[in-house]
Amino acid sequence: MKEQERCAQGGENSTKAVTPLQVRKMVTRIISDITKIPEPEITGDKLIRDDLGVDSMRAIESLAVIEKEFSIVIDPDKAFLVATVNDLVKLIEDTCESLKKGAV
Amino acid sequence: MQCTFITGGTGLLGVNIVKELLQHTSGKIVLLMRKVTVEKRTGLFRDLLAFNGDQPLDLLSLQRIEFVEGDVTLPRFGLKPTRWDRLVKEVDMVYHSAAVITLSGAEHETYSVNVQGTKNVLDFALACRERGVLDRVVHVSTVAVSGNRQGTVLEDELDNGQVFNNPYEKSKFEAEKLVMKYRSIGLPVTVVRPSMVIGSSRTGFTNNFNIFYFQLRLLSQGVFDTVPITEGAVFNFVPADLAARAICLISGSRESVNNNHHIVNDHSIPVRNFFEKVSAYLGYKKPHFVSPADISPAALAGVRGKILSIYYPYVTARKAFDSSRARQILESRGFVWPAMNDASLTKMLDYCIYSGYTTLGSEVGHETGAYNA
Repeated sequence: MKEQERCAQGGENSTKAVTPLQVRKMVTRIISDITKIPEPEITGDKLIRDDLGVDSMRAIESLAVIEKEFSIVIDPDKAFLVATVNDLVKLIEDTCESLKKGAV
Repeated sequence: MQCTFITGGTGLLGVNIVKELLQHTSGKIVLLMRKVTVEKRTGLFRDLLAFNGDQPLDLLSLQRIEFVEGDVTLPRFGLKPTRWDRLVKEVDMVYHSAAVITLSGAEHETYSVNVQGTKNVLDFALACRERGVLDRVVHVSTVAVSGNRQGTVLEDELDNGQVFNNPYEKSKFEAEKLVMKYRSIGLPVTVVRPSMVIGSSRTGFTNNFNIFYFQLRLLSQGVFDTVPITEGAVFNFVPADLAARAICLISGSRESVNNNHHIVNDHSIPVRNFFEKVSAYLGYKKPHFVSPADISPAALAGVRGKILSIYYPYVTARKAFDSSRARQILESRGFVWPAMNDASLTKMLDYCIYSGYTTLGSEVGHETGAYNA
């Protein structure tokens, strides 16, 4: 994974912060890799379960891979509230943001 | 005329029970399904043929299947009174295998199917017993009703004050408590408790990539990079076709009435060996094994931690399931569990690759010798 794609870690070893566009691109790629749904079909307004047909196991797997690739820890309670791709992108952005604040 | 009523007949175990009945009985088979569509029926027939064993399946026998649209979670399955009455008079055998089997499922949904659904099936069976010709109910439970118990679990045991690791385990325990209650009022129920059900012993085919298979995805994604294990912890897998054969042989015996039976493979696989062999064969990075005492709190945080916590009880438990009663019946009928060796496991893994469920990892290519060593 490219350095700039990682969420900012804070501290001396912090990497460059990931932009919202990069988050969206990565989320789209990860969902596409796991579900085999073409990336153009994974638009922000799509319901992850009902529109994209992502079952609970695939959803959990996607979140786990997102955690690993962004080097973040997602609150499972918040993750279960995610409905759309936009919701997921927002959750990752918020998680990265709180990580940065916590690291300062 | 024999008439067998089945719930969960399209599931991994259920479809194999249907196959066994088609091959070894001659009566009608009634399948309760939430939605009866052409797609569902076609899917069942496809799975039946895919699971076909050594004995060819007579396609004409498929005409013995009657599909009934209904829901186990509803009183009287939501059936019209005329259909309910007809079934109550006709059915002489019930196989109840419908269940929510996900360990991370929503509690209310799991309970609705596994507990309320079981109660509805037992009520149906009681009506069949009182007004019809019912001979037996076969309740498909799970070894997981033993919860967090360690050591050897006996078939006669149920409530030993164990704690449950997830809603699935507790719901199946509650369902067995219901079975005991109905037994006490005269309903003859055979309980079978399979261990982890996997694909066909002959081809590896599965129609459901359950929790066993999910581990492979997690390994392939590097999500399972650290796995806590206890030395002595083992996995017990039963191929669906063999488990169904064992269940049908047991349920066909008089001595199984009102008894419990562990449907477990005589050959377990140490957890460490399993992960090592799977990683080597599929070319995934081998996970780092740690003692449960050494697992860091960080490893149990977030979604990955949540996943790890779901598997944790199963990779760290030191327990075995005594299957004396099941074995006595099975051996008297010539059934012996084949060794769960590397080749058995390879069939499952090959099918995962063939079906596209998972892909080979980057470290494949130098694994064959290591796997078979």
